[in-house]
Amino acid sequence: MAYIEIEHLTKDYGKGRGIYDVSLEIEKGEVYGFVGINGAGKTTTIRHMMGFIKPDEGNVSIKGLDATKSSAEVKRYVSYIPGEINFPGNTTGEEFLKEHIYLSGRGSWERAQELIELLQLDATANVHAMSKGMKQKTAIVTALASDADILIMDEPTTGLDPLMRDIFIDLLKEEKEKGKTIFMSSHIFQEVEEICDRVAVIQQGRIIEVVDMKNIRYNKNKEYRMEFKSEEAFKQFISLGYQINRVKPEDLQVFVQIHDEQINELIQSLKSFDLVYFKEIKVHFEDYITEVFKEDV
Amino acid sequence: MLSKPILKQSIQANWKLWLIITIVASTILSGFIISYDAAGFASIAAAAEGTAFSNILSSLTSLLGSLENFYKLISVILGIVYVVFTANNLVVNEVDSGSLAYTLSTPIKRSSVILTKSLYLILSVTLMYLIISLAGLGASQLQFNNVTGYPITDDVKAAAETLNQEERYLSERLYLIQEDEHAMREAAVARDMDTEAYAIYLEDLIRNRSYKEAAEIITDERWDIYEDDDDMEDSDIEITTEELLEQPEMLLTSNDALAAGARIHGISINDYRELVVGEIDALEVVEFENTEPVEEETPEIEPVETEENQEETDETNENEESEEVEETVVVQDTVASTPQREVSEDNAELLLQTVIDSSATALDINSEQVRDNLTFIKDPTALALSTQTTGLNTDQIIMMANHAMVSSARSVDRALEFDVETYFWLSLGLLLLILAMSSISFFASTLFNRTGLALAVGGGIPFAFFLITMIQQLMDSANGLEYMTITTLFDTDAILSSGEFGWGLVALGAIAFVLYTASNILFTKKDLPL
Repeated sequence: MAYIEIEHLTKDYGKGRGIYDVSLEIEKGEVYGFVGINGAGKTTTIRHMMGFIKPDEGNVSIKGLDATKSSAEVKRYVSYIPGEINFPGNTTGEEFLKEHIYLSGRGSWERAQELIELLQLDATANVHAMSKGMKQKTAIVTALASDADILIMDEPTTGLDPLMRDIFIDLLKEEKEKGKTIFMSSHIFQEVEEICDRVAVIQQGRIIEVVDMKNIRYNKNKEYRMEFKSEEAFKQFISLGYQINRVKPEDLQVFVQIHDEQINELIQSLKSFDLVYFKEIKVHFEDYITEVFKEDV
Repeated sequence: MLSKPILKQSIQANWKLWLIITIVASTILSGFIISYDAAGFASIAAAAEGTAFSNILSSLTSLLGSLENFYKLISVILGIVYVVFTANNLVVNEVDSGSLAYTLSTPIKRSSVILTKSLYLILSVTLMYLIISLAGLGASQLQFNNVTGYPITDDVKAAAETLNQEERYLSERLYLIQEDEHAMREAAVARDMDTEAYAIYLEDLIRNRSYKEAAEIITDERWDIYEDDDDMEDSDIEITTEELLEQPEMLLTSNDALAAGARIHGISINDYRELVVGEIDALEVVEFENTEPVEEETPEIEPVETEENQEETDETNENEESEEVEETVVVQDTVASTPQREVSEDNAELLLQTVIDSSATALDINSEQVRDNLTFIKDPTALALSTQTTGLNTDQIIMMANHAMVSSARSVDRALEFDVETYFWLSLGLLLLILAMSSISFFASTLFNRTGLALAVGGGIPFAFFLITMIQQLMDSANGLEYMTITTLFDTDAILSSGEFGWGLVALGAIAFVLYTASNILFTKKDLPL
């Protein structure tokens, strides 16, 4: 059984809103991304994982515990960053952090102070007087300082400036090295690509694809783009029989897809041609997803 | 299971409003009690007797009755303000803002979150109304000393000074005043009476108190005897002061009751027994004769004629209102040796008013002053004119004045009585009413996920109840409105008049219990948008 297992999770809010038959398996130590546009069902899925809402059908189990029925017990292993952050009580950030660490029964104030320093957070402010970014930082400190085995985060980087986002990504990498299991939703593909092992794509409440990022990062089939100086050379190259994805005759350009094993062969062939340039076309997760969405639509 | 951190958080978030409402309500209740003008209300009520206002005013003739507006309206609206805002703050506000996500992302069960929040609201309301009730109790005790003992009235204060005794000590031993002539005079002046009327009043008061204490002891003894007897209703077992006054022979069966009565009179048990036997005989004579049931106060006509006095009076009359006439109190009208009129219950009020007006005219002051101090009636000048206008003789008028003074003083005393039991039921009823209101707000707060909706329903319903009650109080008539508000279940009129009010309070408790339980179940099962 997987560390976190979501089985046939269905919650129908009517009018096509909700999630339908969502099944995911997240292994221990994995960083799992969850992407989709706004309203796709990311938050609804996460609320089920946290036991805040009850499924119409299916279930979520975390460490073998039912996330709905044993919700309180599950929280011993889980830290959470909500999508919309508001802190209870009328206290300062520091007081809230200390209280939360105490209530969670794990984590340490020392770690929290390190994180506060790192994120340049003024935790002495009243939680109600905090800006969106400050609240986000406080939430991040809260989640990371409590030293949980599992981190569930609903769009944790919203409201962070690019610099802070980088720091946060580094922090997550640290957590991953510690063996933590991380589940995060996002609509920013770049950050997902940077740290996730696997990414599930949700659209209109249904999982349309689970992408193993290794396949994108270490794809051995690569695409190269080249431009020839003469039309003659251009035509001659086409006739060589490489897998050609696309041609642009007006610019004398060719897009060739080739496996890494054949790359030497290609370079040998190209020696005899007069080239303007030759470059690898990198595939980003974003491009990949855009393709997926396009196909779907 | 209760969660301490949640309780702490609830207190931190809500203590300010709690404190403000507690202070405001306590202050208002204390203010109502301290400013209660027993003599004023008693005289207004006496004046309005038999008129359309008497119903409205009757509630004002006792200290606790005068608090009806506080119990029905003021404390209710203050309570509603507290429970509506607190109930909203506790649950729906945290759901709507999403801050509950943090509480629920710790290993605290939902059920203990909601239980703790329910208990916070219930306990804070209970504590609030306990403090308010104690403040009222304290105010009454400080102002009138009527909670733990007999009220310390002005006469007791004056006599205590004269006798150099503690007021408290003297208020329990009124016979000490009777024994001292000087004290009697001072005490009488303090109560706007002359010594004659005051002596009657004091005797009457002592007699009543002795019967009251004896009746309590007899009731206690009967409780021990009949407690397990199913045939006996509570009211059958209980012996009231009135029942004992009708059948004083019951007193003779209980030594403890005799001892209590004797203590009030300041005499030995044997002497008191004789006194009671005397009263039994007097009652039997009345019953045996079975003629017109003459009340004690009904004047007996035995005019004493003294020519000299009459002349003296005439002289003073001409000398205008000289203070020296005090010594010629016993004055008689020559013509009124036989009265032209009998005083009956029907015409007593009218005659008294005529006497007062005549006295006022004779003394050249206004009627209000005479009403405030009825000893003016006994002024010879006043008496002379009164006998002419009413056709009564002086004895009748003096008797009437005495009677009026005694009964007015007694009604002031009654107004100042603080029945701890009634107060307890008023306080408990109010608490249950507010708890029922709080359960409505709390239920709305757990049912809805949006603050606005929860506030509209959870605040709107209690506020509508309050408005209906207010309209009902203003119109002072029953036209079906009373069935549309739960404040009807808190029947202050029944509590004040020792009527049947228990089931209403049980119903209020049941409403609170059901809605709080439902809230707890609902919250543990519902979907939370966090």
